[in-house]
Order: sequence, then C-alpha cells, then structure tokens
Amino acid sequence: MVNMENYEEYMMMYADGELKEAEIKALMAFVDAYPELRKELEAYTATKLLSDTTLLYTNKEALLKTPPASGRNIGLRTWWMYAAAAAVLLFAITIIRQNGDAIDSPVIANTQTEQPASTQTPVINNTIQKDSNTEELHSIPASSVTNENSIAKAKSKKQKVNKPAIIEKLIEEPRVVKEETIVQQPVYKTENEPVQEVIAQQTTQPNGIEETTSAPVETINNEPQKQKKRLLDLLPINKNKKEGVSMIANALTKRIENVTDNLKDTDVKLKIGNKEIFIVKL
Amino acid sequence: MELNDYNNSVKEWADALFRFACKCTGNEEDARDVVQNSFEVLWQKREQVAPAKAKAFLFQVAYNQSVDNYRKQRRVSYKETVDDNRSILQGQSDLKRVLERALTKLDEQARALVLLKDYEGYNYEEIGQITGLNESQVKVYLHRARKVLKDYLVSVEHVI
Repeated sequence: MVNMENYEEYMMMYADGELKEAEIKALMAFVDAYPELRKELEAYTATKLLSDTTLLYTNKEALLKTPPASGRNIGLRTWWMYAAAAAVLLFAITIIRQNGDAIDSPVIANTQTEQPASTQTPVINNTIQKDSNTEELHSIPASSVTNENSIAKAKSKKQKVNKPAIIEKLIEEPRVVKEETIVQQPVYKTENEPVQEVIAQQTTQPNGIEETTSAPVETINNEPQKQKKRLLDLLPINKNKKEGVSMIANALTKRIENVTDNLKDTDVKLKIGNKEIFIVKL
Repeated sequence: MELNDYNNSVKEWADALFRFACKCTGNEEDARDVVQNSFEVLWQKREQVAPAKAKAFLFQVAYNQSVDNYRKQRRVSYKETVDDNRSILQGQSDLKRVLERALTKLDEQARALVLLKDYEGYNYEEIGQITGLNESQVKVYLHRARKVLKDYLVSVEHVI
C-alpha cells in the first residue's frame, strides 16, 4: 500500500513507468487523499526526458558494410574449376594419344581386309569333326566323313559344342587352342579307336578340311594379327553381320584417328577474363 | 547476425545511439566516435550477437565507451557545447532546457541510466543488462537521479 513512508518511491516508479495498473490507482488515490503531494507527483513526472528526434547521425552509409570481398573468393573458386577442367582435359588427351598408337591396327577392324570371307574357322570345323567322330566312330568310317556332312549331322548340337570352344579361343592364345585341338582329338580317339584311325581320318579328310586345318598352322606360324582376326570369325554370327561389325569398327577407327589428328594440331588455352593462365600445345 | 542484420541495425539504431552518446559525452564529436566504435564492435562480434539483441549490445558498448570517455576527460562543458546552443537554435521549451541543464548535475552513470530509461524505454532489468548493474542498483540509482532532477526543477521554478 502507498503511505507517507513510500509514496515518493511510488512517484519515481510512476515516472519511470514501472508501476502496474493497480499500483497506479493506489498512488492516485493516495494523492487524492493528500492533495499537497500532487505538485510533487507532477515534478517527478516532469523529470521524464523526451528524446530529441532532431538530433540525427549523419553519414550512416559510412557505417554500412558490403559483402567482404566475395568476388575474389568466387574468382578463386572459378580459377580452381578452370584448373580442374584443364587437368581433366589434359588427362583425356594423354589417354587418347596413348591409345591412338595402340588403335592403329585394331583387331576387329583388320579382319575384314585381310581375312578371306569364305574361310571357315578351323576350330569350329575341327570341333564339329570331333563331335561327328565321337558320335559316329563305330557306325561311319572316318574316311567317309566330310566336313559338310559333319556340319549337317552336328547341326543340332553345333551351338552347344561350339560355344565352349569359342570361349576357350577367346580367352586363350591361338597356340594353346591349337594344342587343345590336336591333343584332345587323340583323347577322344583313344577312348574308342586306335590312334592310326585318327591319323588316317585326318589324312583322308577332304580338301576343304585340309584347308581349314592348315589355317591354324598359319596362325601358329608367327602372325598374331591374323590370329586375332579370327576372333571375329569365331563369333557365332553370320558373314553379313560380321562384315557389318567390321565396317562399324573401321568407321570408329577412322573417327578416332581423325579426332587424334585434330587434337594434334590444337592448342589448349586456359584464360580467365583476358588473362591467359597457360597454353598446352599438342 | 548476418550482413543484412548489421546494416539494418545501422539504419535503425544509429540515430538513437548517437543521441544517447551525445547526452552521455556532452560532445557531438565524441558521440560520433562512440557510435562508430560501437558499430565496429558489433560488426566484429556479429557472429555472437543475435539480431534481436543488437540494440542492447550497441547501447552497452556505447555506455561503456561514454562513461570511460567521460571519466577520462572529466568534461564539464556539456551544457555549453551542446545543450544550450541546440536548445536556443531549436527553440526548445524552458522545461526542456532546464532538464537538459539538470542532466549536467548527474554523474555519468546516473545520466546514462536516465537516458536509457527515458529515451529508449528500457525497464530496470534491461538497463541492468546494459550497464552491468543488478536490477536493485538500477532502481536505486535511477531514483536518486530522479530526485536530483526533480529538486533542480523545483528550485528553478522557485527562482523563476
């Protein structure tokens, strides 16, 4: 409650605006009860200062801050981006140039030009012959078995038999393949027939078979490229499709060569704004 | 606090801070230095200051600098250099001129408390946070200042 002991504190708090509504009412009631204190209340209220709004701080713009050198940071990031891009480009060019030497004689691409289209892979023929022989060792004389007949008879089993052989050829070297064909044949023969029959069978094969069997001999005779060329022939696809694949391979090879040639005559420049950072002459 | 918050604080509180510093230091040139230093400190500490606390932070720095400045220089030219001239030029009322003159009777701390209370409308607790005083101290110091001001007003009124 407001009394003569504490009314002054109430008045000062009233001037400070710290009194609650009930306290203000109590103070006013007390002042009404003692009117001689009203002047004192007005004096305390008059001590409240009013802000001088005409007093202004000039040149506020000098206090404002701008983004702290963000442009330079962005420029640095951009520089690193350009540098990274240039590094990737150089890496790619190096790889292309290195591959360019190796791509000079692509394996598949040369198959069309150097290998006759009419030649059949001896491996397939041998395996076919082997299959036919294993099937008809006892019923049909070996001398009467031709390559065409064996193909016709083994036609249904051709895919099954040829696939492993092809995979083996693709994985292993041609020399090993030849060894397999030579070594495995006696294995089949020795199970059922004397070795002489096998030799006779091989010698009595028609010319077509002899030609095909002579092909691996050629491949063994130090021509790895020709051996590689036969990889395309080993694929179980038609001649026309092989030719198509070869054409596509040739076209790709020429395109790669063109790109490589173009790159050889090109300079790579890294510029930031008008400033050249570095030049790479290829 | 981000850059935009800081710049908004400049636009919003620079004038009030300048008025507060003017009354505390009694000198516009010193007050300008106080404002510049206060905003510079705010900018340096912007990561630790929330935007809502920027005003209190500014007044806290200004209060410390003004009090220090006043204590160092012991300025007594407050009335003559700032208040009387401005009052005359701007045609302030007699009561306001008397009050400005009464402020010179207060010490720097009491003056700052009155200014924070009347100019900025801070409550006792907020003034305590700015000045580093507790709420009771603020209340006591403020009441002493009010009594000085009231007595001055009454005495002048009697003279007039």
